Amino acid sequence: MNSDKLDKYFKEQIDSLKTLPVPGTKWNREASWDKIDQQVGDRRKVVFWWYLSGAAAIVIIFLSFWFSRFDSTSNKNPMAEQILELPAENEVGHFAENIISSEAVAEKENKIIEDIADKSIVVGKNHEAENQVPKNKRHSLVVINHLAYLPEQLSINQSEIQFQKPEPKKSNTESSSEQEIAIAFNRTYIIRSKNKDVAKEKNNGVELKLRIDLAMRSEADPPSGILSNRGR
Amino acid sequence: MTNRTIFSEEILAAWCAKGDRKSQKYLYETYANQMFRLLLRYLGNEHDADDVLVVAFTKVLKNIGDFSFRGKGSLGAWIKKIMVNEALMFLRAKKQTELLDENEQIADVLDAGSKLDAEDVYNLVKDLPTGYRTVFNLFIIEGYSHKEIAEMMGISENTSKSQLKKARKKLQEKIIKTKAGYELG
Repeated sequence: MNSDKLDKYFKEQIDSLKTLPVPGTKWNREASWDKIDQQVGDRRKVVFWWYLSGAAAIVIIFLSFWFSRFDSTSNKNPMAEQILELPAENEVGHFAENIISSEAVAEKENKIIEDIADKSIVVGKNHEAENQVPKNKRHSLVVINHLAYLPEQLSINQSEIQFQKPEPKKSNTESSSEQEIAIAFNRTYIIRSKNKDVAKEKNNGVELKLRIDLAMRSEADPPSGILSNRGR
Repeated sequence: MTNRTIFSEEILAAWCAKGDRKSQKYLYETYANQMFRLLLRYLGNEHDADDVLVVAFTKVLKNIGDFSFRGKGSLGAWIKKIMVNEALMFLRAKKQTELLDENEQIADVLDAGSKLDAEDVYNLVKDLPTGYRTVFNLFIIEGYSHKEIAEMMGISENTSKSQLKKARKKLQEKIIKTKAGYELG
């Protein structure tokens, strides 16, 4: 017999049975599947937990980063949460009356300030109404940190000026990637992200520059607000 | 059976790779009979075929992410290759691939063979000695070359050829015996 014919014959016969179950077999297909499923299922669990732990790790890293950033900004200044906001306009008069009710007092205060560092903090007209920042854009911690130095500085270095500390409240702040805007002492300050040590007034015409360094020293250009006697 | 309709081997493989249990079972149900029959043809007994099927199918499902679709039938061919490899590994581990050395002439048995049905032919192959059976399956049924078989089994090409020749002869003998059996009633 030609072996090729035999080979072909066998191949055809066997291929014809390819997908048919083996007759009379004791093989239990479902039992075999259970064994396979058990082994693959273990792997499924491993893969599931691996992905879950990976996701958890990412979340933990993200949260740690977020909170460490939060903490680091808070640690710079214990007064981070004590943002000052001046009273409303109808209360400004009362505020001014109590603190700098007379020109003489104002002159005295400014003299002391100038004696210290020829610097002062300006309290000017109430910009609060026109500069009101929407509530959903408030609470910029960086701005809060910087501005919170102001009352602290005044109370430490200028003890003779019995400033009445306004009640600490959340400041009106607005933050973007380039700059942060905050309202304190009824003035609007802009702190650029490139130089967070310097706060400038939003209204350039006023020419106020506030420098805050690690020694918590506040500097400002010659005052032009009601504390100033210049030009009077 | 699951009630899902799988339109493409590629999609089925992708779902299996994602660990979808229903797809994995569908894959198993699609190929289980075919692969069990294949393994039985290589291993000669159901117990071993079942053991190797479980191991090989587990390997299929764990590595199905490596499967690359190359047209209809490629998934089955890929699974079959894994099954054959596992069967060979099993035989090697059990040292059942001993090669027999017989030298007999091939007789003309085509007429006798034509009286056998496909299951008889299948059983003839299944009952061959392991070494003959393995080479016969790889060369005649799966279509591997002697060079490939030599690499897979760790033997020389000449050994593969001689084993095939002897397998053919053994089958012819069996067919003749079967014919005699039929004729004797």
